[in-house]
Amino acid sequence: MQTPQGDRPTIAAAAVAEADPHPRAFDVPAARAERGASANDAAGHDATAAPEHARLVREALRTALANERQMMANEVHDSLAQGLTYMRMRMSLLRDAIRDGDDVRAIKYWSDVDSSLTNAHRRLRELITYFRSRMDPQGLLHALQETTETFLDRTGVALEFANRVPDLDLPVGREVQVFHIVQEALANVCMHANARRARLTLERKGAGYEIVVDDDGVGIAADLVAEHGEAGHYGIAIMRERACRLGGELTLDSAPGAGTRVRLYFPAMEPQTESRL
Amino acid sequence: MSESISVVLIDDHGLCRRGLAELLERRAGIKVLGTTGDADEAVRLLRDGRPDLVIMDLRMAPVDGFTLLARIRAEGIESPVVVLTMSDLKDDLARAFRAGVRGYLLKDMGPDDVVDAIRRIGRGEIVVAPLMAAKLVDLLVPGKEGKTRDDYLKQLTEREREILQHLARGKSNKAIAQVLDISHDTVKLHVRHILSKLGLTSRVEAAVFAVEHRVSMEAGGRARASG
Repeated sequence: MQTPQGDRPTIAAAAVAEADPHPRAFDVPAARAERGASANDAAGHDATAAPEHARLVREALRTALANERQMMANEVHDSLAQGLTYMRMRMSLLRDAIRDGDDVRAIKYWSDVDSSLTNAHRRLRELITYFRSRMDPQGLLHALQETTETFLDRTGVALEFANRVPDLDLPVGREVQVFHIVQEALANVCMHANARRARLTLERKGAGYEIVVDDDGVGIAADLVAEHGEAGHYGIAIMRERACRLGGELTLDSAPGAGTRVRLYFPAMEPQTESRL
Repeated sequence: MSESISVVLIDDHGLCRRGLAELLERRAGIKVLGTTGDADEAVRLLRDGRPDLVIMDLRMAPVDGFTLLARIRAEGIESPVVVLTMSDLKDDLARAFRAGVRGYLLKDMGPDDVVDAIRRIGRGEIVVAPLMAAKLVDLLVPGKEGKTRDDYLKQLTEREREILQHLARGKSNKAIAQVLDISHDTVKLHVRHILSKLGLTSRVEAAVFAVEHRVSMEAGGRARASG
């Protein structure tokens, strides 16, 4: 079993390692590094090495779990909590409008809540998909692969995944941001673009990574791209918010009839900041 | 409702900004001078607009609320600040009031209560979300106040904080020694000191502590500045 080099011990790797009494199967960074010192004398002597390795594996697993829990809390906060807060505020205004007999505003607030609910549902679905796929030692890449493979069936758009970073390894908190930006871009492809083909490209660029989602659809008028931000398609604002959390940037190129290109660049290193609740 | 106060909203979630801005303007006639999720923009808005009240989230990225608050004060901006957040942690509550906020509200309080609280804070009252009131009292009862994240972090040296952060990422002593270019034994010694200062017994407990208390090097340094 090969897992990418890096700081993030994956749960599945640790779990497999814990179940396997043979040290060579351990693939948790902490266990791997600790083992380095005694690799020569411990080779082949499982009986003495096993308790120590089992302890290291357990420790790595608990650390990984704490990190995963924090990431999940952040995601629920960013994906769902803000939508719920918004809907409650809208409901409050909707009540006012109904009381005032102002149908125009009532319909407006109702439709805000309605589309926010639809979005919340979609995000919840993405979270479930993501948390499930997180159990895979290959993390983000596997999740993207899975998304790509089912895309045609789900949406009728042929999606190609050109991955030029086969050994991508990001901390979980960054993985989840990237995953959601890609999901959002792909959701736009299937809902608005009327595209036949789309391509997802991942490559290394300087000190970071670039992810591009291209499609051959109807495109978006430039003024709409500029205006939509917060008021119209939440998707664009949310992608930008997430890109900002990564310390990166998101650009959107499109013209009517010429398809759409969403480009995300983010630095490989985490910006120095606290994680959110 | 002749009281017409002006506010600036700082939250890195666009939906929350939009929802709250319209709610405050329609419901309470509060003038929203501007909304932003960006730290630089926030400082600019506050400097130019001099609002009666700043409504601010805590958990924001890349610049969190505590860091931003310290920066706003360092810029000489004196506008009162009220926190509006999802965080119900006692630790955040303590840090916020120590940083001089005028209120601590929760985003799940219900819109009517939020509007009412903001109106009252605008009149000079201090308001705490009902759910947080008991926690605030706890902070005042001797023996129950508990150590906050800042208390713990103050005990650690910069180096120890740095090592704690590596522990949180699951790194072994050996790997930490390599990264920091110090000896394995030195790392071990640091880890032992960290454990004894935090009252913990294993490196994993330390890692879990770091994750749960959101320890990062910058946060450690800034926490003292804002506290």
